[in-house]
Amino acid sequence: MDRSPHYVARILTEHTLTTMAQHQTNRGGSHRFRLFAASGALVFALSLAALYLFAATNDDSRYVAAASQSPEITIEAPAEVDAGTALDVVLRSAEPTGTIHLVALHATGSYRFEAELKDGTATITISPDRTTHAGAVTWLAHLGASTASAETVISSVGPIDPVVPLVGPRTVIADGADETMVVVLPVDRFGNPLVDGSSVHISAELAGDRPFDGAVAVQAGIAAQRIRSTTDAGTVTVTSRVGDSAGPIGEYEQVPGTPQQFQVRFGLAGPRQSDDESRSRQPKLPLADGFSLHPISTTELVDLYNNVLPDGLRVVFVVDEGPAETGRTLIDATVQNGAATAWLRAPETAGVVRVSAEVSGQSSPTLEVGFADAAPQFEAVAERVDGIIEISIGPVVLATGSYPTDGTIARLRSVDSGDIAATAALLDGTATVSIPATALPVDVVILGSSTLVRLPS
Amino acid sequence: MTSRSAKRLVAALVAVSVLATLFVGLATIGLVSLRSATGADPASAFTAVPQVPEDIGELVEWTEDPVLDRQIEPTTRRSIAAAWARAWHRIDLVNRTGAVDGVDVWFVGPLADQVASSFDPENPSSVSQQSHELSATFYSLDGSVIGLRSTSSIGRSNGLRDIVSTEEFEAVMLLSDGNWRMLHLKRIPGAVTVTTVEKGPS
Repeated sequence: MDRSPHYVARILTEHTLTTMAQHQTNRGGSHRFRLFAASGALVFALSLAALYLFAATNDDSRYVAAASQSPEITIEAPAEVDAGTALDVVLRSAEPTGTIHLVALHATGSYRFEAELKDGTATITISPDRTTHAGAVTWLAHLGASTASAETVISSVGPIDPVVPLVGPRTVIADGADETMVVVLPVDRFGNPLVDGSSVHISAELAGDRPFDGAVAVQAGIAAQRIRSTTDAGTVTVTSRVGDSAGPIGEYEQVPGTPQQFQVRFGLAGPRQSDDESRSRQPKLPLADGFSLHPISTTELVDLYNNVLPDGLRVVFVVDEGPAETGRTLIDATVQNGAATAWLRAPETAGVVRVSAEVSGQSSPTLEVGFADAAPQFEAVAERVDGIIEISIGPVVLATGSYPTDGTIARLRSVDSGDIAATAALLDGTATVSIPATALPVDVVILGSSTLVRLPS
Repeated sequence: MTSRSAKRLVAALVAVSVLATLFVGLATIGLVSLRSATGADPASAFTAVPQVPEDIGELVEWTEDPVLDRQIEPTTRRSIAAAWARAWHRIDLVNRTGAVDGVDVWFVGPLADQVASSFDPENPSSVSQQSHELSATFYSLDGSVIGLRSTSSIGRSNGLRDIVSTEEFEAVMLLSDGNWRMLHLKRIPGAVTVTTVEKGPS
């Protein structure tokens, strides 16, 4: 609905005149009536004037109308200029003289200029330092009540170094499915984004393979390209350039994914080997001497695409010597050179130890390691020395004909109570330990074998 | 009804009408006079300008996102809206006072220099935010670069005119040192609508 003051005034005026005419026609009226009518019309007209004034002060469309319907001012400004160049804004008016104002609305504020008209023309030169910001500038000219507007587009100029490739994510799985993204924000020498459609060449390379190599158009200041990973692990280098402008190299890593099935083997990590080879590496007779450390390792850890898992990856060896609730031991290790190694202490009693490993949620089959009875053969003799019972143990000889590993523990267990009365570490297959005479008789227990020792006669 | 009675009735109606019209007219003139004579509260000249707009939450609205490479997280959206409003507030501070402290908190790269140099000491101006309707045009996979388009209602004053305009901007913001900062701010050609010009203090 038209709410302009012109419309309101016209409707109300027509209504008043019509009413007055009806009175005149119907009666001819008395002098008093005519006086009343004239007064009413006068007050009504005054009210109309006041209403018009009030409505005019609240009219929001005044500027737009003035701008488009004011022939008094015209603005001549270039439609487009390069950033950083001077330009002239020519203002023309029907008024030959006067002060004319020009306001430039730009992205980060506004500038105000003024000039004196000479023969109805004024020229305002905009210096290059005020045209460095690309984008639209709106010119608004004012002369008295007259206004006019125009627009100039400041365009970015050519690209400048560096054209930096922003890469992220920086690590992707080398599975041919994961993606990263390269974002390039090329600018001109004033920092303005290049115009839409500018071509940015992006290249990603890994050992001669190119996950991406092509042109990407700038859109709203951004040139972005998603890049899908290949199936080779390694560092991918990313370059970007616009024309002759280039930038530093970006990088991202393609890392192996979940490990494929792997084995645990008895022995140090080494080249890949078959299960049969692994078994052949196992010592013929690992003894349950409770002391020796035996290496256990994973086979080479690789993903689906044969990429070796990186160093530092955590590996957990699970060692079961007995029931799971009591005999389970977890040994932490890390991947080094594609495999993980841990050291397994031999049990004190003969039997089977089951070993498996877990890497990134992937578990290996269980490896069963058999430990033979060390079957030590030895004597233990008690002597009374200055009132103290001294027990000499050894030499202890294992089934293999060798001494037990130094440090193997000999336990002296009371026959009466079953308590351990004393312990001693073997050195070169022998040990000497002193106990009170009251502790005898004792069983000397070494690696599951025992010998009874009584009070000497 | 006699002719005399009819005349009196008509006269009474006319009198009532005249009085009512007179009342409306005088009231209107009074309103106009009151509006014309009322200026700004002198005390407001000494009111400290808040560093942070108090109505940030009402200034920025988001339109529905198009299909983006990554969905915008709610916290990111709030951070960007706040950074956007604060950046505009900083533009106003620079335009009014020339104070460049804090410009690099909200702007990065050459745009920070352009904002810092936007102060005209001979004709200080101001920028007031009325509303921003933001839409995301791009969001990088790693969530560190966002492209925005804004339809903003901006008030500008330069001592000569108070101008309220609706303008469109393209912007790029970077997540830099834990903070969203504006890298590009470009005014879109042909999208400016000046809705009001009032004569301000000259």
